[in-house]
Amino acid sequence: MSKLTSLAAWIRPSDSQKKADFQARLRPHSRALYQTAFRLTGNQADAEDLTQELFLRLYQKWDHWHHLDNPLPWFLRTLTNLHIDTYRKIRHTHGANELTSNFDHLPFQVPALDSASPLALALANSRKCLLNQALNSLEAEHRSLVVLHLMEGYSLQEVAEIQHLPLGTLKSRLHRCKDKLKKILLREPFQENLRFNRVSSQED
Amino acid sequence: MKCIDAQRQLEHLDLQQQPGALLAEHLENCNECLSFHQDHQLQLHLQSFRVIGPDPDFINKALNAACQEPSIQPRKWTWPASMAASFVLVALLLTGWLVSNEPTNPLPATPLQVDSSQPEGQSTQQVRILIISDQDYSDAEISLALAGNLQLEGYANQRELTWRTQLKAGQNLLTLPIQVLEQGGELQVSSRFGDQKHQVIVNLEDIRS
Ligand SMILES: [Zn+2]
Repeated sequence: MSKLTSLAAWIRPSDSQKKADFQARLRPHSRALYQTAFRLTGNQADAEDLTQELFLRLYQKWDHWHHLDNPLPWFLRTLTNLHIDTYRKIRHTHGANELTSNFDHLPFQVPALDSASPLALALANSRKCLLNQALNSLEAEHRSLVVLHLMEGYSLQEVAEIQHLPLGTLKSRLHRCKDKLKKILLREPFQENLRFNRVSSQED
Repeated sequence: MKCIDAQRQLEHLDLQQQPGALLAEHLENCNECLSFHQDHQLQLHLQSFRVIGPDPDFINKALNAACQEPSIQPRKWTWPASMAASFVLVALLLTGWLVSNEPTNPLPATPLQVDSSQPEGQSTQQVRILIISDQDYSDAEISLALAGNLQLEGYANQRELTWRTQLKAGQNLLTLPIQVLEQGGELQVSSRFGDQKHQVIVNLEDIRS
């Protein structure tokens, strides 16, 4: 007696049916997946590359997920795995040290701050910069946990299912990630000993 | 102050607001509330992350391209821009006074060696110094003194640098790309204009470790 799965394997859909199904199933999630890709990579060009690569992979693996009622966890797992692979490849090819190079900034770059621009704006820009740097300081595996759990609101249980990882591992990873992020983000920028202090003056 | 009241107040602080005196005092003595406060601040930072894009027709193109295998390959992975900015630290210093603002070229007047090589084991940190000046100054003097494990990018082996620059009344932002080697060390930034001199010392460490 044939099992349904083997029966299904015999009845292959036509290419056009497959394409139509692929697009219909993926399209409702496509923007959310791009968003996740952006949070993982931190910029539009890399997010678009990652999303494109994801779609291609999902089409190749359509047989693996098209029967699922909710394929989103499958999509997210593929996305985070692709991101981690890419990150490792870059580390392997270029070496960890090159990851620290900062080609975007020329020495003494001094953004012109309009004197009318509110201090809040300067601070907000600095915060944005700081946030990117904090996220970039995380390993790819850790960043996907932060993105899925802290930024996109998936419970740890859901992340465990998406990433096929034990809950305990995720909990300890999360703890380390938070510590690292706090170390960078919550540095007190105005500590007494970091301020400009008057050390001498002709009036003194 | 009770913890429940402290946490209720902390929940309403945004990233610009500092806790009031009573609350600050409570935080100094209560690890539970301090941890609550830090978690909340972290959450606010993460919520402030803005997603940009994609281009309007990107999704359609990407969905169609995916079905065209194997003729159309995804764009080859290049060096992600996010990686380039890794491990960069911003130290934002707010002061009542000065430091540089010369968008064109606030470089030292003396010719300096330029060395843009990046030996192994070092990281560049972006140190930003925000100065609020009470008036325009045409001839402010900025000096840097770098500990042995710090290098100003492009000025390898220069331990001290001094240059003159203009300051505008209001906000002036100076960005210093500092390479931090091994354990790091102290960066001293001093400024002099009119009859005033100010100094700030930043202890830079390699945040990868
Ligand atoms: Zn308390």
